[in-house]
Amino acid sequence: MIETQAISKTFHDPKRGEIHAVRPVSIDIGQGEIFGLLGPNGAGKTTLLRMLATVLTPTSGSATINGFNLLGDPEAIKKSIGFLSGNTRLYNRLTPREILSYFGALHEMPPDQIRTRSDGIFQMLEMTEFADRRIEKLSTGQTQKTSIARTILHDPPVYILDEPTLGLDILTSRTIIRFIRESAQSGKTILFSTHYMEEAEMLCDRIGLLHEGQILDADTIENLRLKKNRTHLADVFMAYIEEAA
Amino acid sequence: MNWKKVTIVYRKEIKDTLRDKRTVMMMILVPILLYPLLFTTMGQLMTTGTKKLEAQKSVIALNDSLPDMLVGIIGSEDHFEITFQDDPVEAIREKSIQGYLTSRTKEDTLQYVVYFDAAIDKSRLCQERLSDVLDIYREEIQTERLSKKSLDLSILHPFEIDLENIAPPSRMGGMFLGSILPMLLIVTMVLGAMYPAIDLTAGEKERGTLETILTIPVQRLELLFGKFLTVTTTAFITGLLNLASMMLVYTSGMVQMGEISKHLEFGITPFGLLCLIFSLIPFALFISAAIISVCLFARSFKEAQNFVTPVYLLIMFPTFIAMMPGVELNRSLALIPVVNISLLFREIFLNNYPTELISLTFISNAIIAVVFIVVVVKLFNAESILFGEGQSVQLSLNRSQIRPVPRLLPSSALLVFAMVMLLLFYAGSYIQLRFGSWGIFATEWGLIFIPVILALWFLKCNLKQSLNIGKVHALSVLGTLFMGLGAFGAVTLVSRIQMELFPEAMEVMKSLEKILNMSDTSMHPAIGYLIFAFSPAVCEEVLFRGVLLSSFKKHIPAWMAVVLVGFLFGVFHVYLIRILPTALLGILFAYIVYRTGSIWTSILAHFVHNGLAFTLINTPDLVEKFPWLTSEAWPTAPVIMLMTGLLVAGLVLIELGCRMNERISAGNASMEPID
Ligand SMILES: Nc1ncnc2c1ncn2[C@@H]1O[C@H](COP(=O)(O)OP(=O)(O)O)[C@@H](O)[C@H]1O
Ligand SMILES: [Mg+2]
Repeated sequence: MIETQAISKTFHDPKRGEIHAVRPVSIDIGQGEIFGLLGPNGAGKTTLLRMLATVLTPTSGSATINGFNLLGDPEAIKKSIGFLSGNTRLYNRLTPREILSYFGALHEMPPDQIRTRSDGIFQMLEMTEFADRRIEKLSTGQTQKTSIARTILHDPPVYILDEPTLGLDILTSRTIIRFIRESAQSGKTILFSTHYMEEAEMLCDRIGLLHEGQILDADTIENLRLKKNRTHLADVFMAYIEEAA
Repeated sequence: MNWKKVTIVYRKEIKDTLRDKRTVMMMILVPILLYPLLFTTMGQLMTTGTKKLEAQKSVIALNDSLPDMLVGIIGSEDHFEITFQDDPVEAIREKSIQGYLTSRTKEDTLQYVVYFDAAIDKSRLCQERLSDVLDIYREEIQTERLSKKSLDLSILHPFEIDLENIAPPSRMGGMFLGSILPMLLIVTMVLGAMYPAIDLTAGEKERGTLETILTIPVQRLELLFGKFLTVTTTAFITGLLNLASMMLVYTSGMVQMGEISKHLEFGITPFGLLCLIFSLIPFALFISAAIISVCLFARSFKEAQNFVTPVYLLIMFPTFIAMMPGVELNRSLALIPVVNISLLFREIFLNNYPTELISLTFISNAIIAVVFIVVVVKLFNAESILFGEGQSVQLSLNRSQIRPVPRLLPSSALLVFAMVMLLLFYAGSYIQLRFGSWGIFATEWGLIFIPVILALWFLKCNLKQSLNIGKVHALSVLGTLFMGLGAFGAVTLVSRIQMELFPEAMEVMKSLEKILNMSDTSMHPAIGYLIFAFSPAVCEEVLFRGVLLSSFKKHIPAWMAVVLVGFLFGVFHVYLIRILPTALLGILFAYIVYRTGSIWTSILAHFVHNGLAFTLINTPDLVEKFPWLTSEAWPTAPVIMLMTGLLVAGLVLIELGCRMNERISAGNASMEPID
């Protein structure tokens, strides 16, 4: 479902010079799979996911999502994915309903469909009560639910989530985790990044260990543990880093 | 581009913008408050001004020799207060009295003499009153003498003179409205556009909603167009509301306008109003495009505000040109943004509807707006601008919180530029008017050099790096000399071409020469060179090729930095007609400083250029022989070749010098930081 071909990104920073945020990365994620991108801050998670969401242009390499080429058909990619990150905020002065109808219209959904789909989502995520209140008046949890609502609005086959639980309280994190699980069960492909070991352990079918822009290994948790002969994922990660160095 | 998506974006942005209190306040509250206040205060000022004077008594002194009858007439008028003075003339000077009436006999005729001080309003009024009294007195004597001969006074009055002012009140009103109101309209429209423009670009970046929308299937061009139309709409509505308030306040008689209502009667026709509204559209397009394009560079709301200030000033300056008497809209001026709109507003306020010029203005503004937008889209695709690592402005009023930096960030550098422009505009023009040549000296050092150095000190910049202070190879110095001479030729040629295109330019040039021409002052030539060549060379170079260039070249491609510095240097010279030649000069200077890394080169070149200009203007013989030197005529082909040769030779020598320097430092394996 998601396939990257030696995708990489180099930034030119006036102060720091060249930054190889993502070195050539090739991963392959199948349909219905939950793939976790695990890495410390600055590992390149956001950059990699932004490239897959067509927000950044890769320096080299490419990717295919849902059968569409990243460089050739960015519009089709945008329609195929739901992208959510700590950086994707919502318009403060609009209500959840208005936001959904705006994004729905841009996804070229007919108005009736937007309406029924929004109502369905509000029901499912228990948002009805605040669906007509402006974002600026909502709590963090309610805002996060709205973000999820707009991510799944157009029912894309792929979700790309960049540290979706970062900075959230336990209760809101639970909502997200449940959402990821349920989505995978209904056949969605999920690529998400995190720097919480437990979260990765709890959710993922497979984990990609990202360090300084490089995938050190990508496998199931069991296999990773076996390969390095450690129980804790953190120790496994450290072993990989030491090996790389 | 899918226009349906543009409409979707537009509708959403309008809704979003209208929910923003600050924008709405700017749009609605300002026009509601501004015009009533303006008209009331102006009315009161004018009324009280004249009334006060009229009501005051004139304190006078009379000479003892005056006949009783005259003294009697004066005494019967209640606006005189008679005092006794030892030295009445001195008393007028000291302002303790306003006038002194005496008599004398000159060549057998009796003369009454009125002493007054024409520079004092009250004294002038006193003189008018005394003259009136003398008229009455004369008539009485005439009547008396004629009646002795049984004649009637009418024999001396074959006719009367009656003055009728034929300027219709609406024309006078138009003059007033035509000069102040266009400016207000433009200012408020810019302010109305500014806030939403910042909010929809930098604001969206800062709040993180931009990243969301970029993952949604809408093209950047569609997104930008939607935003652009939104800002245009707010600017247009702001303009419309201002216009409405202006008219309403004026025609309704809602406010006490006192004296001005006598001088102006607002006679705009419905067709005129339509033209006015129509011409608001292209202007709204233009300012939105201009403001959005700079806002895109900003990473935060605050930074955007700093970026917009210079743009705001840039838009403001041309409106002053339009306020100058005698400047009228013509085909060439109709092509210059902002100037065309201000002049068009004035024409319409004067009840002229030059349809051809209106359409020309419309088209030129629309084209410029589209060009801007295309450029903006290119910028909008640049990731470094969309996702550049956070970089905030070094602005804090608490100096201890400021970290030392090698040089200013572009936003701060632009802010320094804007500050200098403001200083020059408000203080500089006054000082130069008042003190002439020495005023130029004072403004160069006091309003450019010192503020710039103070800003660098305050923001803890490294002087050496901020001002591009560096070593130059002797060859480069020689090249700079050549280049300075060649540049003079190039600038003359460009001025000449401009004059051919815009003959009005001649006038401006002439008046500029007058400022430079010292033949009527007794100034030592050395002082002339100090004021006109040395001071600008140091002060202006420190700002442009120092602070601005050192800052820009680290953040944008070098060629863009060089052009931008040149362009700002052109703008700095305010007069429209000087912008192109000086921008060219600025680009050349910026290039050599960029290449040599040393500001000494451009100081030298600037000195050579200005010194040459100064010499020429003070050597009329030379100019007579070679009129092309002051752009009065076309230079001959050999001259053009010589100038080009000098320019090229200069640039080649500079390049050689730089290569030599590079080889030397490479040889020394210098440990100096290559920052
Ligand atoms: N726009 C940018 N310009 C320059 N450097 C960047 C930019 N975005 C990210 N980086 C750098 O790239 C590296 C990876 O960043 P990121 O992808 O955000 O990591 P993560 O999401 O894993 O924390 C970091 O060193 C970061 O500073
Ligand atoms: Mg990140």
